[in-house]
Amino acid sequence: MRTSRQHISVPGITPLVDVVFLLIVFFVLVSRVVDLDRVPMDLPMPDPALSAPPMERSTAVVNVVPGDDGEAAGYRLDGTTHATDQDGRNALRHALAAHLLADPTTAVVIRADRRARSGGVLPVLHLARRAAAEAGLAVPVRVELAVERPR
Amino acid sequence: MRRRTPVQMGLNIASMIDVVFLLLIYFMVATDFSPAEETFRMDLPDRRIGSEAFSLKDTPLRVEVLAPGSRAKPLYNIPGYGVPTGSVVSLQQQLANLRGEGGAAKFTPDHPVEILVSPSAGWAGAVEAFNAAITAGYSNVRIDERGGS
Repeated sequence: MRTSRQHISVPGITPLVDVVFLLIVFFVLVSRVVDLDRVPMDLPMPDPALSAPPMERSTAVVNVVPGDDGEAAGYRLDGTTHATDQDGRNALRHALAAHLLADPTTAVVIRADRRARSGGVLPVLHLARRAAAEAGLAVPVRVELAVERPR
Repeated sequence: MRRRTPVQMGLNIASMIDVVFLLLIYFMVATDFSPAEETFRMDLPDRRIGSEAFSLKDTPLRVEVLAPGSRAKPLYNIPGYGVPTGSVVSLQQQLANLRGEGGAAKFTPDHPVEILVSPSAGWAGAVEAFNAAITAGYSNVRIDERGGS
């Protein structure tokens, strides 16, 4: 009697490699999309602008979260949203001071929507100045205003 | 003699789809979807210390950004030197006329310029005024609150 040939199943290495590559690409994509530093908003777009590309150095990005009718709904720094009341502003000032203490060359980047009222944005300038004093900075704090480059 | 059966030539569709998907993902990764973001830089001196850039001997050239109405466009004004205007191009021209040597020029390019923004004015207008001052050739520009502390 003839015995039936036994099939040894071997997992194909090609689909495995495919899946691994797809996983790598997926995580590369996700890491690019998820940017806690930047809240989606329409930045001011002066045209023609003499703005410059952001410098490659330490930054503390303060997002003025857009609220109703141009008011600021909060200030977002390092993934934490601080309220616009006095307690929130104090917390933001301490967080900025911690950045400046860790690295005195840190630039405070202010991102605010083009429809925002200045009354919600200007306090961040005061807080940056006070944070620099709190951190004992001997030089003026560097502030950068984020804008969108016209395409 | 046994006849050899003809070999069927065909493309493997599964691997083609794999390659197409990989190409698609490659171009998605390579493309920058986010709008290009740039910055205007300025130094904020501590008012208590005073700084060389904004010391008393150099009274800053002040540019006011006002909000005449709740939804109106901002109004730009250079107190003592210009006429109020709603056009940022006109503001830039006035600032450029004040800069340089001789003639009507009153300020050097490194003279401090202070953009004083009304809290009710739009942020875009404040940034436009900042850009106008830089474009007019001033190198020492900063933004502050009009009538602020």
